[in-house]
Amino acid sequence: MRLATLALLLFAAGFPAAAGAGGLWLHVRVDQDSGERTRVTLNLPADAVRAALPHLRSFEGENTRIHFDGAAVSLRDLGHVVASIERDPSRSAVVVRSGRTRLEGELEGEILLVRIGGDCATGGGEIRMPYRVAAALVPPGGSVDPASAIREMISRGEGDILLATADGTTVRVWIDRQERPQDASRRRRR
Amino acid sequence: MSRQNVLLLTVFVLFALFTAAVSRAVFSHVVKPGVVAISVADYDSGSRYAFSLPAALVHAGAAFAHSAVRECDRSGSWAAAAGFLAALDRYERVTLLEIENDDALIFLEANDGRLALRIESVSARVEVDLPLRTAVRIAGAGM
Repeated sequence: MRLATLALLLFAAGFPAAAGAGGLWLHVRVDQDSGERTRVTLNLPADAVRAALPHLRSFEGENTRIHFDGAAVSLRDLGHVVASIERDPSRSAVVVRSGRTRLEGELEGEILLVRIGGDCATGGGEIRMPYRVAAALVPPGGSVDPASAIREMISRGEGDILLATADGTTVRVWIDRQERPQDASRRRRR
Repeated sequence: MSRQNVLLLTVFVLFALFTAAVSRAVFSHVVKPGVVAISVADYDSGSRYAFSLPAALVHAGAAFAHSAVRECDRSGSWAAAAGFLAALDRYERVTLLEIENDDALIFLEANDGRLALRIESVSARVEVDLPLRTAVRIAGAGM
């Protein structure tokens, strides 16, 4: 399932050892409602994910894409958006074109809003996340550093981290102190 | 077939056998016979089945998986998964993953030292579980 790409990326990233994150949980929720309704939820205890962090490596992002519901974001292109904003934060919007995809990045306070435009084959959508998280995820040089991104996330404490929407699909990432979301499935265990 | 092609084919077969032997040896060490338990409950008939996977099947599957995942792991995610799973040992029960659609529910849980995958549909429930420590060893061997 392509929707799981983002969730797995975050799963692979881990929490920082220095965060002091006792009792915190990272949640990733993917809701898809295009025809058949599907909900995917990841509930990851901070202490356990923290143990994964020392093993993670950054990697080249040239061919790495985040797919969700037909929309695709190249992490290299996201890096170009971040680098352009880094050079001139006063710019109202940054546009990066790559193949059939068009990314438009815009700062709303500390939040980076990325609009994904494409043709009918690639679809479109938008992603909201703290600018500093994006900057940590795609540092200069074209690499992808998910561990640093999560380090930045956890430093923010409880709250929403990422919201991505496309046609019929929503991806939400947040941190709280609940083991499972309150709206978790009740249909279980006959 | 030319002599050169025969030589290349021979080298390829020997390499494949060598890779399979190494992978099998690794997983023969980390996966003990009978540790993967499967249970199936058929609600319609009221039948319940429970059995353990034969060791040979586990080893063969693990050997294939081992050679496959090594190609995929460039970001350290298998090592990270091993560290993550090992740390779950201190939790009594964690629902790590839930997938819900109109037809079925799928849960991945760490529960009292075991890692369990449960698939629940309207008519049946399937459970596959193995010791958390075995899962850690599998992930570790994939590094």
